[in-house]
Amino acid sequence: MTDLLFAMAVGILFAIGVFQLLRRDLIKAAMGFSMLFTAINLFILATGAYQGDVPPYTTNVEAGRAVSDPLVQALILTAVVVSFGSYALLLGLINIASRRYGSVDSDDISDLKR
Amino acid sequence: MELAFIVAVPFLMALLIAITPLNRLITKDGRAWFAAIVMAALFLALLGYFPYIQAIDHEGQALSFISEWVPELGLSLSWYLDGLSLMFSLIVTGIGAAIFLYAGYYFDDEAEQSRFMMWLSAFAGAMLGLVLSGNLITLFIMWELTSVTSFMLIGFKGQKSAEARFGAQQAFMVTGGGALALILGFVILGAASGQMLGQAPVYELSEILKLHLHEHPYYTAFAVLIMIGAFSKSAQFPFHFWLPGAMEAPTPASAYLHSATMVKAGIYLLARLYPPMHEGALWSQALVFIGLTTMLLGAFFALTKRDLKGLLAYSTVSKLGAIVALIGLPEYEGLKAAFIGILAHALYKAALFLVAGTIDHNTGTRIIDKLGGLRKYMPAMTVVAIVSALSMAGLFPLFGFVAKELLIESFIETHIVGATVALAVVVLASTFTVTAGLIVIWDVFFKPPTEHIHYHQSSPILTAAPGLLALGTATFGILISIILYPLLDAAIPKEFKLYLIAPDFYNLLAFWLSTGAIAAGTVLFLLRRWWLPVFNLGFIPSGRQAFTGFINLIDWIGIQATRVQSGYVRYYLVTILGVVAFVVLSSGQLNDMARGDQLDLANVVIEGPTILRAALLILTIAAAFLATRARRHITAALALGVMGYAVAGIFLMEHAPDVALVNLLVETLTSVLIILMLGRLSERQRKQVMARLWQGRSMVGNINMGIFRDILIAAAVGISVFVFALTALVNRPEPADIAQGNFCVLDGVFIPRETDGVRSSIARYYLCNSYEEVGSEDVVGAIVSDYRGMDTLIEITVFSVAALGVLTLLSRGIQSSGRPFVPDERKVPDQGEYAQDVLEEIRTPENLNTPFTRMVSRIVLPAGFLLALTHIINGSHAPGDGFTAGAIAGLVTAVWFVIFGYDEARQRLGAFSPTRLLRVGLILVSINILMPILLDPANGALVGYVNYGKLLHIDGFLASFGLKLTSTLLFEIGVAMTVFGGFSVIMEYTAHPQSAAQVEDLDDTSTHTSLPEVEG
Repeated sequence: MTDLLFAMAVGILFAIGVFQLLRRDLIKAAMGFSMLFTAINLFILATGAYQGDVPPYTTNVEAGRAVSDPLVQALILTAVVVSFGSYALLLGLINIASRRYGSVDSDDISDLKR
Repeated sequence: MELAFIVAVPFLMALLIAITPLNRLITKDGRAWFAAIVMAALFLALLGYFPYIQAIDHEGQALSFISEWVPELGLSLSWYLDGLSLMFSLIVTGIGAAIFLYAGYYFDDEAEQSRFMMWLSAFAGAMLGLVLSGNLITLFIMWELTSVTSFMLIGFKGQKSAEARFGAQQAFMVTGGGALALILGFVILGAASGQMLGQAPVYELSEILKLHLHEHPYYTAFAVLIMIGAFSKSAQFPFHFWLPGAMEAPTPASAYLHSATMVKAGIYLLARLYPPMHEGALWSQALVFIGLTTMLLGAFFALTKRDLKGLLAYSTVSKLGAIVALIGLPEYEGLKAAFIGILAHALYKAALFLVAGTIDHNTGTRIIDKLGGLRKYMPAMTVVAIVSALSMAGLFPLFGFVAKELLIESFIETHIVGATVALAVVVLASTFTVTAGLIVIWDVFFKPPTEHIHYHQSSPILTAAPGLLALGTATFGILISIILYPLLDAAIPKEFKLYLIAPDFYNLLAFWLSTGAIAAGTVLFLLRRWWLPVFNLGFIPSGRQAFTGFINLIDWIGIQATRVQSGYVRYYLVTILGVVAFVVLSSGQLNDMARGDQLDLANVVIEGPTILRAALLILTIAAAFLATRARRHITAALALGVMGYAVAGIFLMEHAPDVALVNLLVETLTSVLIILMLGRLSERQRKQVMARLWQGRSMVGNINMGIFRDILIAAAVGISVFVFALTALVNRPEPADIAQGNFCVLDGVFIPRETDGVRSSIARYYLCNSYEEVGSEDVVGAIVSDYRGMDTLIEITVFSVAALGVLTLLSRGIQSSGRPFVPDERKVPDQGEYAQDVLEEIRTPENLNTPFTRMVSRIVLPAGFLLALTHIINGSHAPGDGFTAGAIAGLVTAVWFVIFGYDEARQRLGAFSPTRLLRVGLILVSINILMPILLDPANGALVGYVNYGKLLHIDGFLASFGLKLTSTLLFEIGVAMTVFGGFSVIMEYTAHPQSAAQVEDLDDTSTHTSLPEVEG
């Protein structure tokens, strides 16, 4: 049941994120990225082998209690910080684009054609 | 493995120069001498192999070293040394020593000098690797490396000169295109040799050299392809034009690459493959024909050039052609003459290029017409030039004389078809070369100058280095049988004799032809007043036009192809994402999901936690949806914040306290970041885009059809992700039951490090062993700081790079104003201005900078640091770790920037430098990763648990405070410093008002052309 719940949440978040990404507003597109990061983190969390009742500490393991999966948590831990970095970089790029083109509308920034 | 070491040395030298702090340790002159001495040492080291090489019987085995690389594909990295490679590697290092010394003194600007020396060292390494490589793949890699490094060297002045960029591009595209043919040829050759040896493809030279490849049916295919590669590299007709174009390179590079080494790479390859390939009829025909054509054309065009380097370049083309033709002769007839030619040419032409470089350096011009009478200014250089140019012309008793005699002799003795015509071409080309040599001597050094020459004296090294080469030119001819015979004897598997003058003048024909060429060349030189002006009339067709035409054609095709492009970023995204969704949905994943019998929906037990989980997930999605709908950016940003907190709640539900903590902190920082960032963006621009948000380019009435398309794409992607996720989740193998008491025991064994024959999930291994191995009760912390420490290092490096990227982007304006990072006095009264825009949006009438908030934030900063410290210290047995600590510290610093405004916060923070923190943190983590291998090299493992407290015998003392000084702790400190540094960099530069202030200026004059210059 949890699997289905998480898969649905990840799918919907992804859909909203992609929809955001396709907006002409660059700031909203960046926010779309932030949603995608979140969705991916949720997915990684859900792939954990153990959905336990207590945090993964060795003391809990010795006590024979059901711990949660430490590996996925470690993966997400670093991913959260890195996604902040990339989000900041995206916003920085938008900042530069806004200065250079005088707009934050992706349709105004169509140098690709030239 | 000594050969591999020799190849590695120049690369290491390049690296040393590239690492700025190390490079700064050495002075400008010191760098020149250091590089020259290293090359000379390599020369001596290679000379040390000479006895081995001599001992090799002609049929015997050369020195070769093979190390496996990708054994599955039959690839290995191997090195091979025989007479031929020894000769070439001696040229690379010997001439290299003189050139490096010269190059070190050639540049006046130290930054330019060290950048040039770096690329030149890298090139020398690639070239050495090329001639010493023992299989075709290694050779090819090195071949490409010489192309890349020579691109950098030819285009060295590319920032200032369009010609240099063009020259570099042209050279790279011609040699690079040739290399494509070459690799194809190598692969076919490898397959063919494999077939002949009855095994998988063979690339090892030691095996290929014994074959008779012309018996294989593919011979024509790979021979032609390899020849194209070699011809393009060695500037043979019709690819010759890139070499004169490459003369935009700084002269030391021209001297090294375009006379002595790189252009000889093609020749090396042809000579290298001579034994297995020369028996095919095609070999001789193609090489002799192309070689002689190139020789004649090059010699002729050299006469038309009035640029000294251009003249030298074309005469190089000519000589290369002669050598190629010699290698084309059957039965090893031409090899002796070819090798002597290579050596002689390397010496005199490198020297002449250096002479041209010194002239250019001292007078500011290389145009022959503007020069003259230089013997008065540079007498020593005049001697060097005379010796080298006469050697080029082939006068007795210089080294070039021997080369020319042997060249003519070879074509007298050979029995190829059309030998007489070939001989005539050779003599004619020699005549032109004599004329060119005399032009260099007389018109530059003796003829009275037509205009005044501005002469500047330069370092004597600029004369000494070519002088050294000229010394070789002057003596090698006389000492030829003593010095060079043994070397060549090792390189040519055939009996031969070598002398300056045949003892019995046995070949009178050669003597007369050679003398005749000199006489005719002199006459041609004397008559130059009549024929020179003809060339000034203009049109001499060259390969350059063909090349430019070809590039234009590609451009044209590109333009035609872009007609289908819309140029709108969003449409590309639509295409990409649509394809992704299509591929996932059509790949049969749906069927996999249908088989997921674990998805037992009938027996769902809906409990409290599930409901809470569902509620949080719904909150997440609702917040995301709200962010999409929001008509103001600030609303969307806050909605995203809600989403982040909801996710943190989910993490908490799933018993991931570390992650939840970091997520909470990072989400808060994200919200601060985006609010600051919105303040930097022009309000007008943001309102404008918001107004257009639901408008598209395909409107039907009031409704934007694009929205439906986007919804469709988003839904398709969402469904495909859902399918993918569900498939992954329900097909996960059933984990072991944790609730059993014997979780850490599998098949009666405690889950050990060596899991031979014992299957367990990696998470289970971590859970059971982290305390014993890493000394950390918090398994997540153990994984981050130890088990996957290398991964963490890479992640925080990525984070640092992102932070520095933000710094670079946002400080652009600041730097270009030429001012250091100082607060603008004028700005101090309205320090909260940058936030004004934001504040208006959230309709708060007051500035955030109130006495109360100031007091709170003053307390918050030290308290935050203290909290961060406890997180690090308690990281091993409680939630929180280096990431949390860094995020907390970053957050309290961000608070300062928000409350106090940029200027005041910066002033209060004083000498605190986030970038330095970043650096120190990364170094600390790296040291931690390297420590285990330093302490226990035999084990050879990176990243491991080290108890430094125990190592330093202070563990008892520390324990009394409840502390443990371990690698984990230091690792966490390093991570915390890096993360803190990164957050601070991002916050500091986002909060910087100076660049934010210009946004409004820009609104009036929105430009589309370039980045605006910053005021001040």
